[in-house]
Amino acid sequence: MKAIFLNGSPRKNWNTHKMLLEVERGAKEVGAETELIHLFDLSFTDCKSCFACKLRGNKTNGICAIRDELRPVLEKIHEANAVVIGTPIYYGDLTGEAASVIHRMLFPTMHYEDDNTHDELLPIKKKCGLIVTGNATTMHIKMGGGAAFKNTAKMISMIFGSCETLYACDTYQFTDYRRYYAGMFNEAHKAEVRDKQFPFDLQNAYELGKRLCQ
Amino acid sequence: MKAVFINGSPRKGWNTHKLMVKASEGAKDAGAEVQFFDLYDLEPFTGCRSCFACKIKGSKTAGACTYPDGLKPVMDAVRDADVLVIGTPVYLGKMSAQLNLFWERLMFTNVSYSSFDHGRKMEKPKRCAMIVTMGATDGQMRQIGYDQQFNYYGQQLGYMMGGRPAEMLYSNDAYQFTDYSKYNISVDRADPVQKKKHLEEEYPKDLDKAYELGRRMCQ
Repeated sequence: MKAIFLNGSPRKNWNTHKMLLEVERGAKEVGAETELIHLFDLSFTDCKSCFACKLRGNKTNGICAIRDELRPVLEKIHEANAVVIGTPIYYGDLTGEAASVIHRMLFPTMHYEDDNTHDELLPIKKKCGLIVTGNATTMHIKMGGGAAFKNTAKMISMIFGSCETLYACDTYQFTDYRRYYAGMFNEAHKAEVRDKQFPFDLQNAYELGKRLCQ
Repeated sequence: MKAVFINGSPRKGWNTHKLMVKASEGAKDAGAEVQFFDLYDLEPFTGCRSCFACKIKGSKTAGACTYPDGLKPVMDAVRDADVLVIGTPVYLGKMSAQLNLFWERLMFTNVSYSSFDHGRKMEKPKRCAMIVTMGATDGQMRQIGYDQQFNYYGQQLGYMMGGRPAEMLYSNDAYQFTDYSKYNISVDRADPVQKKKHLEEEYPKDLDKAYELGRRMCQ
């Protein structure tokens, strides 16, 4: 069992990364071979519409043909049994880095032939996960703030078979709130969520890692 | 009058790029000083790094991200612009992620965490437009809801850059390959004859619209 975890957040040791570390711990617990990759450490672009993956007789085998620093990651994703992508919420959506990976991971597997032949290129079904962190409260997410992630998870599961989404809401964002123009956030409330709720979120992340790799 | 054009498509001389070039010609003919950036050609850059330099008390970012990477010259140009035109193909129902990287850096710097009524910090308000190309026909676009997604982008952009929603130009049924017979694409999905007809008869109208849009924005 191989599991790969992608950090689509620019920050290390903050909420998204911490969640992914817990997912990884859970995956290791059940014996998976794991790797956590920071997308912001790599230099790459989004899909270049080269359509090498749509060319008749092409041998891309569902792996994006662009040779940049994302290519080895995409090869690893192709081999993996479990894939979890973590992203903070940027404008109600994924970070551009996470979106690039998702485009380049999904588009090469999608046919333009017929809507029902997606999985032809994918001998291995994967257990996928999407970890989403941000200021949004659980209520915001439920009231429609999670639409972009719902769609993303739907698209991933259409290709790879499944995708579970896990949120860590109302996260603690700054080391010292007093240094920032952040009047809309109540630091005491944020600290309370961090101390009381976030440990549960981490626990859920750990369980997710275990579940996906069993 | 300064106008900045941001091309979020990877392909030169293809649908999005051509429309953007046309729009920039319209802007030039209206007398604007034009800068054109291809996001796929820049030195490496990332999306927002959550450094929060734009939120720290005493910040002097003045509404444009100052992170020093390949996007720096673009952000500098945008800061001084009166008009901002952004072009993108539709990638899985959204803007290209390459454009998304720029988008985060453009928008977040202007978001105030002090109140929900975002205090825009960009010194010069901008008139904005978006040029969006896709294989989907106009009917498919409306059925799937791509127009809703992109109208929403346009609303956000306009709001953050000066108040009015961005003007939207959709170019549908895009001619995607030089030779359709070389690609795995069924006739049901895209009939090359029909595609060619659209390219020759309808797409030139979109180019005219793009030119007019560029001119109008800069008048």
